[in-house]
Amino acid sequence: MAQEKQKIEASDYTNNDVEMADALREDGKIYVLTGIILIILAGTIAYLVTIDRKVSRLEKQSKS
Amino acid sequence: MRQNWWKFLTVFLLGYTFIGGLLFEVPRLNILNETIRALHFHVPMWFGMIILLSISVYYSINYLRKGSIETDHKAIEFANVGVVFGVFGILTGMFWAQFTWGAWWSGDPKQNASAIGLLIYFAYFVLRGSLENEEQRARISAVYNIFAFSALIPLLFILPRLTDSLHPGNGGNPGFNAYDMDSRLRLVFYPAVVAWTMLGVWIATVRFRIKRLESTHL
Repeated sequence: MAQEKQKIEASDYTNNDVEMADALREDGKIYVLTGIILIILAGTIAYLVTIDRKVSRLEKQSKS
Repeated sequence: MRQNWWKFLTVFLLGYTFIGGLLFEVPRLNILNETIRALHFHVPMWFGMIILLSISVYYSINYLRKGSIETDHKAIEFANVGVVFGVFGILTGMFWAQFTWGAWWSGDPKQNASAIGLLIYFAYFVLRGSLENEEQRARISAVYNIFAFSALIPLLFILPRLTDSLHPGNGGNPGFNAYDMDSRLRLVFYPAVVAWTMLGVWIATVRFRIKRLESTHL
């Protein structure tokens, strides 16, 4: 039988018995990681934007 | 610029997804631990895939009704991006499963079904590649696309529910779906779904425009 769904309680957010990456956060290094990932995201988006622009330019050329 | 407002929205929502997904407080749950954040990255791949494939099948039906080759091009590009999302979904799912369910592949009904679903879509691309005549290719692949989508829906949403699945988490299994998403998780999850889907639409439209340029100049 499938298990009943369990509700997530507010107490789950403060349940310190469960290990989380707290040290990572205390060291502040999680922000470093977030920054790294955001750089990659920004770069990928910028790349997509340049491709998009290039296609727009080609479309303009092909119309004229 | 004005018709590109949704691209700005996409970038904004993606940024929000990454920041919120990585930094916002999450419930502290056994076994899942921090990997609960994968909810904001793994699951939107599947939601995005379904939405993109629905758009694809919409264009396929439209092609059969009106016969414009452009709609066929749209159908293939949306299917392309949709399947890329699906592959991401499988890979991230396997990675997540290895560290929470204990195996890359446990033959879970939903895992198997999504693999079969993707294979059906791979056949769609093979089918297209094997037909030379443009009109014939458009017509046959439009029909196949409708079939593929109709097969995918029961594979992903009906069959796994008829049997025990790790995904809905049975027998004390810690799979995420054993938990009901709460409102704080939804705050990131739904924007994430919208963000990834819009990114997929963006990529598909760029690819479609390249295809249109090709067909007018080659």
